[in-house]
Amino acid sequence: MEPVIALESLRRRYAAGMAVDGIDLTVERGEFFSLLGPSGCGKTTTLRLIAGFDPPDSGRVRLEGRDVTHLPPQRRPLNTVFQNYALFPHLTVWENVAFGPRARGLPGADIRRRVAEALAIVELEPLARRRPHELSGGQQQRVALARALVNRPVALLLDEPLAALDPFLRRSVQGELKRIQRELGLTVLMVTHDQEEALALSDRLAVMRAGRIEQVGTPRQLYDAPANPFVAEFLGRANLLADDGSGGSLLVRPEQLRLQAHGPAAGERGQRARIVDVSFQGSLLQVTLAQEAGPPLLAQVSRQDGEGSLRSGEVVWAVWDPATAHPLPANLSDSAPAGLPRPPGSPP
Amino acid sequence: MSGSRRSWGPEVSWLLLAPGLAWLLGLFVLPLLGLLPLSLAEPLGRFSLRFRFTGRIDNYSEVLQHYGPLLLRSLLVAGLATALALLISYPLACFIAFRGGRWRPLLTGLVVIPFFTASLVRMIGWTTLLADRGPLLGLLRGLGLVLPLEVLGLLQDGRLLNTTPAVVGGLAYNAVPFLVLPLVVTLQRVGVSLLEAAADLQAGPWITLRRVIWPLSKPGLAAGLTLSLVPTVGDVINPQMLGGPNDRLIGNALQNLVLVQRQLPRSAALTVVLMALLALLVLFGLRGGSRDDLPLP
Repeated sequence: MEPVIALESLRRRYAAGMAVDGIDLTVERGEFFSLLGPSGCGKTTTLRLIAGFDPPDSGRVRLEGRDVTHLPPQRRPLNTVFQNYALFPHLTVWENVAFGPRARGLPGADIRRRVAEALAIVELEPLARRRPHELSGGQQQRVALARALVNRPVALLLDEPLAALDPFLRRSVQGELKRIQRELGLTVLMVTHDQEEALALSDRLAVMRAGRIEQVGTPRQLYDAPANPFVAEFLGRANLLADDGSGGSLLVRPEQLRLQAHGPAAGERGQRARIVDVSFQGSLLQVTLAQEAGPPLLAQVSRQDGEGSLRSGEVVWAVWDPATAHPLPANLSDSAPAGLPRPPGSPP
Repeated sequence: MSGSRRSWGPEVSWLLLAPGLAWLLGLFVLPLLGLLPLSLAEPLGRFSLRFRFTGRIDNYSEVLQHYGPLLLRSLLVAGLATALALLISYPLACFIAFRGGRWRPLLTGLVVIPFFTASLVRMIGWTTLLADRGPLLGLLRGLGLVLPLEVLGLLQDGRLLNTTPAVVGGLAYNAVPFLVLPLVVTLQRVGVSLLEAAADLQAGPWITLRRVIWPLSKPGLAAGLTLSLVPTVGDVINPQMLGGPNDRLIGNALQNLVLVQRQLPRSAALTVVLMALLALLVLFGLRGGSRDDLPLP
């Protein structure tokens, strides 16, 4: 079956430099796909090339196999939920949602039925007569979603859809979004810089850097077996330990480190380290340890295991199972163009 | 949502209002109130400049009878000129606001720069441009457009200068920056993202203009039309320099009435009538604009 979205060697250069530098990507029907990366990595530009707001310098955009590279946005069967929602301030919620069906010239009865359905999906019927400025941020976001859904696009494009919401609201909207996507069998392409969001929502995701895709896979594949240190560090906290065998490094996630008084058992590996900080994070304790040589280690231990027994200044063994550690090639991030922002948590 | 909109007391509000209020009262409302008794007065003698208040309401009927047709004609010419100016300004403002990018301040400046010179100088420029042996007429002759334009009434006896179309053109030219500036500010606030949203929702350029740009530009439109229409109706120089003997407008009549005929009571009456008409137009315009004056994202 044809993928819903297919990008072929997509390139786009801006005056400031290369924004999208040769991207190949497919999004399958019913898939929730995320483009994840730091700001300036080209993910939003990619979205704009797919939606048709900017033309690519070279490459193709196909929707269900059809080449739409040179079609304007209004002739692509896609709809976008914009980061700032871009609701029409002079129109009511109902009129905002009806905008697309009206622009396509659907008959009045059809429009009323579709708008009612879309408003029901996002549970906004009671607010249909309000104007956008009379709504909260979360409600505006749902209007934007309904306004896109009502057109039954072949794929829904989400540009940092949750970035403008406060963290408390973000969780519930995440759940809502996933529910709607599953129930309607929507194909979704989301752009985000929030790795937690991408891991929680996506069926598959692509990590981008400097206009290129670093790796594509399921959240588990990317978290457990990242292709390189950049992906490893962008998707969560990571300890990159020197791997004597390969000259590369070994990825040990903080939750894979066990802290204990005695050395490693047979088949395990371990490292003596001094506890620098124990930070309380609710159900977990995050422990920072200093090694004799090398960068600090991060460990995550459950509260039952660590409370009371782990104190700053104490020297312990950090132990891991080499079978679960993931070997990484030498860090490719040094070849990244200068001036690009580094992901949070990456070493300077 | 913004609960602290009134974070200051009423004293501060009055203090902020005071300069504008004083200006309006002292230089506008009081003189205008002075016009009212004058418009109902009679000269003491046939050529006297001294008056007696007699409540002579006939000043108004005489003025309306005498200048009514000219008043209508002036409104028509001003309306035509403003409409023409709008046809030029609206696309221009759209371009500057949506496509101007970092050139926006420069482009806006270019619209205003010609108006740094005195209006008289600009009108002299126009007379040269439109003269019988001037460049524009020469170009039209070369293109063989003289006859078709004559048929359309845009040329009169092979002339551009001293015709009504020239007056309308000159007035429109003067009105353009008054329309462009408020429109650019308003459209800039509308923002490109709403246009992208419309295109994303399968709206072509025409639907986007009609359903998004036009309704959201109404506040700027009302301000621009008010700013351009009012000086256009009262323009004195333009009809004199670009128009023929039959192209005088109400401003010229008023000037003549005051400076030549010295009929101050009648000119006061004519002024009151003109002001009332314009006030009605402006109120109408502002109401049309404020309905959609909603906060923009």
